[in-house]
Amino acid sequence: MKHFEIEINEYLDGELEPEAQTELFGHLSACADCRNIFNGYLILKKESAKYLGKEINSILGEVKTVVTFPVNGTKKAIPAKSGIFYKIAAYTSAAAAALLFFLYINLKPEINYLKKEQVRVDTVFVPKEKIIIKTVIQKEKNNYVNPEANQKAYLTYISTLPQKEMVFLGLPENKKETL
Amino acid sequence: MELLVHELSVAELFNTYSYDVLAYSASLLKNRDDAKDALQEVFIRFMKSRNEFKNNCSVKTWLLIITRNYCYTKLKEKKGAEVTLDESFLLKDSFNIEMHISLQEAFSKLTVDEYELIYLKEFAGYSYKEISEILGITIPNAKVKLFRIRKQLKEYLK
Repeated sequence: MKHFEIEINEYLDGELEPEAQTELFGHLSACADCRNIFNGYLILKKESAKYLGKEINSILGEVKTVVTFPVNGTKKAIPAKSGIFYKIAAYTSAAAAALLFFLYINLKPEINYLKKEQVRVDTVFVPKEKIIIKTVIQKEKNNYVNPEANQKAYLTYISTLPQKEMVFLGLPENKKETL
Repeated sequence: MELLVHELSVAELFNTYSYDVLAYSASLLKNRDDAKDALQEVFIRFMKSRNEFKNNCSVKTWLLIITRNYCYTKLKEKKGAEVTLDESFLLKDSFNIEMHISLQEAFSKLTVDEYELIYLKEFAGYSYKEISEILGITIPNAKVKLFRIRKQLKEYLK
């Protein structure tokens, strides 16, 4: 009977074709010699691997990994976000934000707008030489300006102006003196 | 999946294959420091000849071919270097001592070539194809040699 020693070796090396495997198993079930050969090679293979592993380890001193180099594009290690540093930073930021919001709400400066009825617009007419419109804004209600007093105040103002501005206003140059 | 040489940086290649190179050179040179020197030299040679690689084989196979060439040159330089086994690992574990000693005797009778072949298959776990590429022989030749060595070992162990 033909023995399947080569096929046994190939099978143990993981390189026997599936069809040949079927044939081998069929033969092994019927041939005691081949079963012994199979067991012998199986033990030899396992023990050889163990022996070689121990020998290599004895030479290299149980080295399992060699020093590794950083690879381009590798991200830098970032500390875990659950760390105490991140917790302190998060709570501090939240407290600061709340405080700023409180201050904004409570210390906001008040802006007082004038109401419609608090404002009065008067038009002042200056007779003869020129008509000049002056707007007077008064805060208080019912405090009407006396037109005569207003005219007097205007003339007083004019008298304080320098000569050039009086010319600009269309007043005669000697007006200041007459005033 | 085998990686192409141009897809990997030298750092990536080193990180991936350095132990394979180191273990292979240790199996041939039988010395830790020599193996470390070999590792360094292999990667220097690899970087120098990187552009000449034609993708005829995998990067790993190519690195092991460089390793083999370097180690054999080293062994020739040492002259008369034989495969000697370090006994320091004996009695360390619950390994079958009788089997270990007999394996040690059996392995000590192998030549460097035979030892290398059995190492590549049993320890490194390479396929017939990879072994044939590394050793520069045909697949049937690698297969036949391996069977012969196993038979020989079995005879020694009887």
